[in-house]
Amino acid sequence: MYIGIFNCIKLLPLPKKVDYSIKRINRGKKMNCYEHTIIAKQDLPETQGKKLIEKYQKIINENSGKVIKTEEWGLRNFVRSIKNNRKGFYYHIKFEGIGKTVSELERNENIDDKLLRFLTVKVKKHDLNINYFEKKES
Amino acid sequence: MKKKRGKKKGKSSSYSPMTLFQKPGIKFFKPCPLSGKNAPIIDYKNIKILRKYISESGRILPSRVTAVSQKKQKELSRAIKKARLLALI
Repeated sequence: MYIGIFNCIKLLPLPKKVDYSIKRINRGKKMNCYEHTIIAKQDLPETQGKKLIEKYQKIINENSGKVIKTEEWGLRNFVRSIKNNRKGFYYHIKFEGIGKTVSELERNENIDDKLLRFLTVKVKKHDLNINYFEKKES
Repeated sequence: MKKKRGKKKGKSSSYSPMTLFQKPGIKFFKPCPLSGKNAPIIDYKNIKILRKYISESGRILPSRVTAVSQKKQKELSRAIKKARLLALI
């Protein structure tokens, strides 16, 4: 009888090893998915526009976040004027992060006077296939 | 004969008064256009669909006009308000 039970225990599979390396980075916190859109002023040149995105990508990556995708929607007309402006550059960033990354990002954007407005939206899952503001190349 | 008459009365009372003017075969209400299979995704970036559900002056249309279900109307109104903030609609 006893020998039979011992044999059974040996056959059971061992528990799998868990990768703790991912958990260590965020101290056990789960990463959330966010979408972030920025509206910049019309009168800034194109070279400065690229610098502006890189600046905010850096802030996300430094504060335990991870940039997944960036989109440029280009110059668009506003339906209603924002702070006496009629046009603006739209930039869209999809990233993963925690609450600290969002608060740090929005703190920096509130100070910046090149921006008109910004919006952060929390989503359950990123859908990377669809781009609603894609430019038609022809 | 008396029993049959009683049955007929019961049936007629179950109809609502509006059905008197309609043929019995026709359905009375539209199905929701945003729920079910192959329905479009409600998103604040998807302006094409959001524009269908606002009036000319930019107000949200009521669900009794558009026949959107109550769950989807809640999603729709939140998406429109986000799009308004970005001045897309």
